Amino acid sequence: MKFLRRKLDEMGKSFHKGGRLEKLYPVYEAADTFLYTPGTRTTRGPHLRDANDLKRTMIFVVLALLPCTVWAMFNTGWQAMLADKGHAEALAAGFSAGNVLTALGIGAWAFVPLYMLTIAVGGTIEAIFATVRKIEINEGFLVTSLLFPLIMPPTVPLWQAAIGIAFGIVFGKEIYGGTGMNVLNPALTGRIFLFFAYPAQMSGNVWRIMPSDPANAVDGMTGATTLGLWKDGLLPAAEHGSWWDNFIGLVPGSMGETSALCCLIGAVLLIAGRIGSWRVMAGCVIGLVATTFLMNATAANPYMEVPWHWHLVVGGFAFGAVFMATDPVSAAQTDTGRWIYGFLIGALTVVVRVMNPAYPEGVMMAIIFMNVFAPLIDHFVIRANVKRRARRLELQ
Amino acid sequence: MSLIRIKRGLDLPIPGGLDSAVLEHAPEPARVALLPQQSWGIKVQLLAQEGDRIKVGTPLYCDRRDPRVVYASPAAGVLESVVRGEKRVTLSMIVRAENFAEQAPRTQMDAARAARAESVEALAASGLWPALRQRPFDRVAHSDDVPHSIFVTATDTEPLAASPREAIRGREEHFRSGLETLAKLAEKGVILCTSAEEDWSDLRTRGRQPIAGVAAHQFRGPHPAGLAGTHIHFLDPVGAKRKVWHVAAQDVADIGEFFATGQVPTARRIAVVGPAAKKRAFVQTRRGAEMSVFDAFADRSRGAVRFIGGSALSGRTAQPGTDDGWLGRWDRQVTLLSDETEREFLGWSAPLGKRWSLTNVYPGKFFGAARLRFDTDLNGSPRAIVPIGLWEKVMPLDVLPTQLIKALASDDLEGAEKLGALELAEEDLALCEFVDQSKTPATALLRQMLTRIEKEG
Repeated sequence: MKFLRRKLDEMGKSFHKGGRLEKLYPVYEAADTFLYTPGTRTTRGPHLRDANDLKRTMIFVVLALLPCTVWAMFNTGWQAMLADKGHAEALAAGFSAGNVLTALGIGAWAFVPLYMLTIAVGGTIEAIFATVRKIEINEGFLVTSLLFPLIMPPTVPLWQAAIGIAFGIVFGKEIYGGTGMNVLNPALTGRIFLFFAYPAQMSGNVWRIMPSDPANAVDGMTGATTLGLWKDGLLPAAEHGSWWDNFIGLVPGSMGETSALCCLIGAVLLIAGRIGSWRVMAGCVIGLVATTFLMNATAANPYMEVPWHWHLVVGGFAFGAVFMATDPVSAAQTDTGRWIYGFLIGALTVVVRVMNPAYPEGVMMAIIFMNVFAPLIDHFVIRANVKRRARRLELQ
Repeated sequence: MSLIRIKRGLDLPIPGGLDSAVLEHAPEPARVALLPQQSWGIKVQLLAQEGDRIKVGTPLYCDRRDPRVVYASPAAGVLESVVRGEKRVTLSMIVRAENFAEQAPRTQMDAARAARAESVEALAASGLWPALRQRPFDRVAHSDDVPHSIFVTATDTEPLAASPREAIRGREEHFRSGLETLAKLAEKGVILCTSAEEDWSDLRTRGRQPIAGVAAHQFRGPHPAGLAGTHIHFLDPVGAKRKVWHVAAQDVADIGEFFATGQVPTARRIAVVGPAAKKRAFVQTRRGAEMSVFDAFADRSRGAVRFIGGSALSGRTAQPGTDDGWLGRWDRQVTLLSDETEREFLGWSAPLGKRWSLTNVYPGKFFGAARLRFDTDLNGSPRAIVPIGLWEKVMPLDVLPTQLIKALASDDLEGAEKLGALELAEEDLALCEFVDQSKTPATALLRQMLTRIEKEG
């Protein structure tokens, strides 16, 4: 390893001040500190520092996303197999090792190119902005680049995905000044852009990973997502999966978000690691459950009668609450604010799902909407704090 | 008397605490120094020249903003040198010490009968006055001010700190007289802040009578429960218009001894601690002692050792032999940390990790703190602020740390003042800077802001 270190130091010379490649220092820094801890010492108090840095934080979020990612590949493949007559015979064996591997293979074929494309396009944009701004490349992109393909339908054309991530990074993050300054969640911004720009592929009604030869399609297989079916008035019924199917995630949907179980594992990791905000997650769940109760009590149509435990597991709610709403920069940044922010995301999700005739899924809209309102929530929390402290000073 | 429970905060699980509380005597320092730049915003006016014969209590310099208050030598000998830095700033005044007994002549006074003005005059001329520091701004108290109250910090929760009760053992009577003198200086008297784990009731009573003008409060909980900033926030918050002073327990005993005997005390009890100390002891040395008297404590088997005047969180680098290598005016401990640079291959991927974090992303901390490394590694590099709620976990005051630090970082003077910058000193934000994953220099930003507020406000 000494050899590599020496090599890096040698290369580094041309990237430092006065070197030939001085302008590309952020790129060198990213690679150098990826391979080796920076080794910088403190110069003044506090002389000791916490072991955690942004790199490890972001890697940890990626770790928490792994169950969802693996499930994304499996379930994408599995749904494709269900839709394809060619697999009917093999599927008779159920979840055999062979079937699981086939499904993983098909899913990986849909997911991996999308992921690589996201990293290539988004990473290049990040590097360009960092170089121009002369700041280090921020590790937040590790998470954004994994979140983005996970909230894509598996049939999204790659060129659309490339436009989506580019839009998300530039308009969701960089125009505000980069990581830490952004108002919106960049992955979600990209997704919503695609949703409005290319509704045919993105509507969330129909999940389509069609067999290569249309003649092979299983009869009557629409590939509709659970929420899409609800929208059409087909409320929880046996024919489109039990509650458990939805909880485990054996239903069609955007790649990473079908499994509430995998999201739950991610939530446990994020909270145990003290990285994700449990206040936001709890706020989301409480908001969703409370609003569902309100709907149930005043039910004017069958959709309003859908019970809370169904709302929790269908669509992207679990994924959104655990991984998207908790984005620390675009969420509210006061502890009180985080409760309010989470609660309103949960509440809005149900309102959009049940009341809005246009979109079957509401969590995406709810989060981006609350991203915009998070600074306002914080503003009121801060004002209360300032007032309280001013009053204490007068009383003494 | 009341008990205040601090819930948020952090006691670092750092090894290297005192082996025993028994007081040892360090060899007498050959040289002592005063460090003018420790007093924020000071405009130094020299009162002695290089080569002058100096006695204990001889004024060496004063602050032009408050010329009555002198900074006096803690040793008798010769003023060896005045060290200057950039822009001719006075960095240190070094005295070659011959003894610590020969006192500068002064008139003795009866503290019990002295009026406030006389006590102030005597303290200001003795060189003991700079023990009193003012909030807001955490600077040396101005002798024309009358503070709302004076906080006696008789607890210490800094990492590896020694008990202040041990630091004044044998000087209890002086501590009591010190309290009596201080009680006269403030509008509302003295507020004695102690740890809930220690009994200080005998130190605030004389006979059976509680000392007049002394209110006592106890604090329980993790660091920063023992910081003056925390005590002030909960008991008598300060703002642009209200000032309080604070002083440490040993300095109270010094003040008491000065008024009782007419002699300026020069001894200082210091805890020499830290993971890079091969022997950790509670030692008696002199104020302003050269750091090399602690050389024998350093364990250099793993490479360079950093000497810190103060704690690992809020102390000041004080490497022996450098311009900073002296015991500071307010230091209660000397911390030794390993300072050897080391770059770990793929450190971010280490499944357990060798280091401690408030987050649980390095599970190594669950397998025993003994094998963890605490050294001066920054453990990362500076990044944009990504607030994941860690600051809130270690901030017990009713202050919003994320918003305050952002206001500091964006140089938002009005915002920072509203969010409580005036209540804080560097030590109060040290834990926030410690836990920060983005390595934001919060304490340095706070000092910049305080300097700006003082200048413009």
